Amino acid sequence: MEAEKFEKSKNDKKPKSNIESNFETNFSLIIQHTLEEVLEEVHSQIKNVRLDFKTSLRGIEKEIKEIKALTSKNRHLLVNLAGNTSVEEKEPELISTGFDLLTKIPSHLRRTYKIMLTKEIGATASDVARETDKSRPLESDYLNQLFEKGLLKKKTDPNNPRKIIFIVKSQDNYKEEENNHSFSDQMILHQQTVRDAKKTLSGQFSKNKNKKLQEMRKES
Amino acid sequence: MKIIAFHSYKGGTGKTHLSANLATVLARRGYKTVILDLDFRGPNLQTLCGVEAKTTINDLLFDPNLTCEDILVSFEEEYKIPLYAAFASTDFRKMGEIVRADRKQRQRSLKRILKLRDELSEDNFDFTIIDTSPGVQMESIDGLVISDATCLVLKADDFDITGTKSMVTQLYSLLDSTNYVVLNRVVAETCPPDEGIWSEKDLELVKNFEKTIKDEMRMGVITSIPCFCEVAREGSRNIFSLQHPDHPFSRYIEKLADALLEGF
Repeated sequence: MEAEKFEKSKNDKKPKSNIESNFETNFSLIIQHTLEEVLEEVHSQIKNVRLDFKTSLRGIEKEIKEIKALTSKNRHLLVNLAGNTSVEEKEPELISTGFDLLTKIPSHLRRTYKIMLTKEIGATASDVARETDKSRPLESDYLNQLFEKGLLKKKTDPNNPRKIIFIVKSQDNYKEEENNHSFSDQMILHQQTVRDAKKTLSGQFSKNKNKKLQEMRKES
Repeated sequence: MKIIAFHSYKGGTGKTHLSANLATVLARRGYKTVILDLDFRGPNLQTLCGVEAKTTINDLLFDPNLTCEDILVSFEEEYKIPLYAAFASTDFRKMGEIVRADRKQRQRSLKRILKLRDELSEDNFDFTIIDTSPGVQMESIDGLVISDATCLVLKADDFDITGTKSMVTQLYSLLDSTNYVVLNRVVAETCPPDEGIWSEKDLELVKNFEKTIKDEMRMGVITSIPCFCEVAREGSRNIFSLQHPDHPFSRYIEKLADALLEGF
C-alpha cells in the first residue's frame, strides 16, 4: 500500500512542460526532413546507378558485337589460309647422300638400294634380280629388309595383284602419292621401261664383249 | 662397265691429272672411256682438256630432262681414240647451287648420278673415271659409292698422314669398292729417275715408303709415280700422256692401268 502511494505521489509530482512538447515536435520534424533527404539521395543514387548500368550494358553489348565481328573475320581468314596451305606431313627417312648410304644401309643391301634409287616408279623383286644377277627370292628378301627399315614402300601392281612393287621413300614420292596416274608418271614409266629393256640388252652385249676382251688379253 | 674413282684427303695431289691421263691410256687401248668431273667445288678438268662445256654435270643434277648425251663431250674425232668427258661447271652460281643443296636436292643428285652411271653403261662405255673433290665432301662420297675401284692419291712429300689415315679407317672401310693408294710425285735421291727407272738405292727407299703406307693405311700401293719436271712444266695445259705417249710418265700410267685391269 505504501508503495502504491509513493508511485502515485511521484506521478503527481511530474507535470508536462511546454519545452518537452516543443522538443518532441521539432525532433519529429527533423527526422522527417532527414528521412526525406535520405530518400531523395537514395533515389538520385539509384537513378545514377541505373544510368551507369544502362550505359555500361550498352558498352558491353557494343563490345560483344565488335568481338563477334572480329571473330567471324578471323574465322574467314583462317579458312582462306587453310585452303591455301597444306598441312605438313611427317617426312620419311631420307637417304640423301652417298654418306647416308654407307652409314645407314648394311653393305649387303646397298646394291639393291642403289638400283631402287634409279627406279622412279618402283620395281619388283624380279626387276631388281635381273640387274643384280641374284635370285628373285634373295632380292625379294633384301627388298623386304629395306621395307622394314622404312626406306622403301610397297604397293600392289594394279595390273597383277600378285606382284608387289617396291618404291624408294622420298619427299617427292611421298607428297605426289595421290597423283599416281598423271601424264608425267606415264612418261616416266615409259622411259624406265625403255631403259630397263636397253639395260638387259646391253648387259648381254657387255658380257659377250667382256669375254672377248678377256680372250684378247689372254692372247696378248 | 667399270668405274674408277680418284680421291684424296687434301687438294693438289694430282687427282685430275692422273684421272685424265688414265682415261687417255685406256681409250688408246680401245676401251670406250669417259671421264666425269665430280669435283664441283674446284673444277679444273675443262682447263686441262681445253674445253668450255655449255651443259655440265651440274645441269644434269638439277634438270631431270637431261641425259648423258646432253653433257658428254667427245674427243673421238680430235684424238682418234674413244675418249669422252663430262665436266663440272666453272660458273660460280652453279657451284653455289651444289653447296646450298638441301636434303631433297641431294637425294635427287644421288639418284641422277646413279642414273648417269646406268646410261653410260647402256651406251656401252667400258670405263668411267671419276675425278672427285678432296676430303669428305658429300659429292665426292657419292662418286666413291658408285665406283668399283678407288685410287687414293697421296703426294709423297707433304701428305697429312694422320688425316688420311683417319679418313681411310673411317670411310674407306665402309666402301664396297677395291681401294688402292697411288703415290704421286715421289721424290727420291735421283730425281727424276733416268728413263723413269729407279736406281737400286732409290727403289729400296720407295719400297720402304710403300711398306710404311701399307702398314699405316692397310691399303696396298698400286704404283709410285716419280716427280717428272716435264710433267710439272707442262702443267695443266693439256693431257700429258696424250701429247707424250712415250714419256716415262705415260709408261707409269700404263702400269697403273695394267694393275687396275688386273684387279677387276
